[in-house]
Amino acid sequence: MPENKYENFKNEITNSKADIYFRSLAEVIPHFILIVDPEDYQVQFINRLRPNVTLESVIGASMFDFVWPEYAVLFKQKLDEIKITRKTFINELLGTSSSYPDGKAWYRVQISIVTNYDNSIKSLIFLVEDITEGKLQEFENINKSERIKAIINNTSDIICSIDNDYNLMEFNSTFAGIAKIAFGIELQPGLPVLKFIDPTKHDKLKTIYKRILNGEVYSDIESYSGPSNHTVFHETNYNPIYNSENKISGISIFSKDITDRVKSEQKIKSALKEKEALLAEIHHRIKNNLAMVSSLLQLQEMNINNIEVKEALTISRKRIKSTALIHELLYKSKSFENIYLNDYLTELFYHLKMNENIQLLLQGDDVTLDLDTAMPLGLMLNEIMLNSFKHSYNGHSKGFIEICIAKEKKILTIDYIDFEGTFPDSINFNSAGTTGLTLIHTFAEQLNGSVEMISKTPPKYKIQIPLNENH
Amino acid sequence: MKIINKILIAEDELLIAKVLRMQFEKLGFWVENVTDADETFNKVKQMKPDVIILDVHLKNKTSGIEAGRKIREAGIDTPIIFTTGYSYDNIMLLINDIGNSKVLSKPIEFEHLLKAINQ
Repeated sequence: MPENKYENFKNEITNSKADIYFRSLAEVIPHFILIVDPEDYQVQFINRLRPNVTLESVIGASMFDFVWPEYAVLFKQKLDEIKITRKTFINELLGTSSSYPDGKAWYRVQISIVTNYDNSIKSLIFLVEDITEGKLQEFENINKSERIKAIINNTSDIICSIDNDYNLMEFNSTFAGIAKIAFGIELQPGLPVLKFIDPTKHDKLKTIYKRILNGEVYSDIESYSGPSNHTVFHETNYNPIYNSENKISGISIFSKDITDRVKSEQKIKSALKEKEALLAEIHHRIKNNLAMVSSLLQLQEMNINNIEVKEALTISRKRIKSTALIHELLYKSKSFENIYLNDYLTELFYHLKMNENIQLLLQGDDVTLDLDTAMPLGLMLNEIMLNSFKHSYNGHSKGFIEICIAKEKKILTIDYIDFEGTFPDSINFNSAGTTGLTLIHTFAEQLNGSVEMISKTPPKYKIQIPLNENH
Repeated sequence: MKIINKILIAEDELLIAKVLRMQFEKLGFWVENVTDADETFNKVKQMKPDVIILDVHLKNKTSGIEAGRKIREAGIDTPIIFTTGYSYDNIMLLINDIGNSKVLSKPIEFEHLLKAINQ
């Protein structure tokens, strides 16, 4: 360019009103602007200059003195192209800047032409924008997205989302792998999800999808026919997906293969059933054996004439029956571990009572007892009740027994009152002079508890025993 | 009230059956014993007892409940007293469909058995 051309240009750009406005505008916008001559690529205008450098001093200089050296060849090539194609070039380039900690900065570079009235190219204009912050945010988003993708793809669970028309949107590699093996289908976004699911499940799944699209959250366990016709069980969670307008735009689906868990549960249930059957059989056999022992005693009893011996055998049979009752209640409890004291006392009373005129009133807490407690306590109460029937209700007299049960601070207290009964003055309750009293005191000792007779007329007993932690 | 004279005891434990039989015979009843389900059904048709004492578990793993059902299906309405070493409640559920029947839990008190027969 001839020297006077630039002199004219300098005058033009420094003196015209329009150019004054342009320069003012160019100084305030954040972009870097470089305008160059289309023939020799020499500077016509720059809006950013180092301190103490004037625009006038740089006009006419080579533009390549003002661009990153590493991009000089690229820019030259693009400038040459643009002059022919007249198409704007836009690209994002990595450059340098002291404004950022690592000295790197990203710029969006736009090169376009400025034409004269006759459509000839007057200038080429570089518009450079610092997009580092946006770019870093974009990188962070990509990294974040990649991290989430990695998590989603590193699970053995099926994760996917479908849109409101049940078309697949996103899916993880696990789902893609399973779909390929199980259904021979290459998953891709937009694929109708019901297309490869067993048609017999469609109605149920559609009902679930409708509920989710109405805002519900749903969890379900379903069995499917897997490879080699093995049944697989999946636990699936369905959640609505809300868009930025807070409207439901699809369904997220998390499905976990719980086949191993289900099979383990089935095995445990089966083992538990076997155990229950075995325990039931044991209690049944114990009861049958006790029935045999009872029959043996009965046979003996039938061949004896001595009334006292006969009575002793009768009472022994009643004790055997009372023991069998505990096994029956344990059998009935299904857990085979505990019995309800109230149930036992009711059954015991029915078993021992001589006539229908005798009433039982049970009051207080319904306490459960394990076998270690139930057996001695049950037999102790059997003896006390036998005493009531033996001394009080021979024949057809009326009677009324009240039993109050209380459990407080791991101490079981049983108050037993035989309202219509009597207890022989000649017998000392604490001396254990009879078989029945010996049993009562022995069982109280075995339970680390106490049994005392509060009064003889009417007979009142107080039993206290400590219960273990399980009660 | 029908007078009870003939009692059929279906019980695979012979000692238990023997003791019951002796006690009933002492009171003047005519008693017969059987040990399995088929025998029970045949004996009921032949003997026509006034009451059947029928153990839930009989010899050769045969079922007293099935025998009871067969007796009813044959149109025989003789009262049945089931005896069991299992839980009373469970057996009550199982014999729900067998009318004119009761359950007693083993070991059986003879007084209770007599009471059940006379009710």
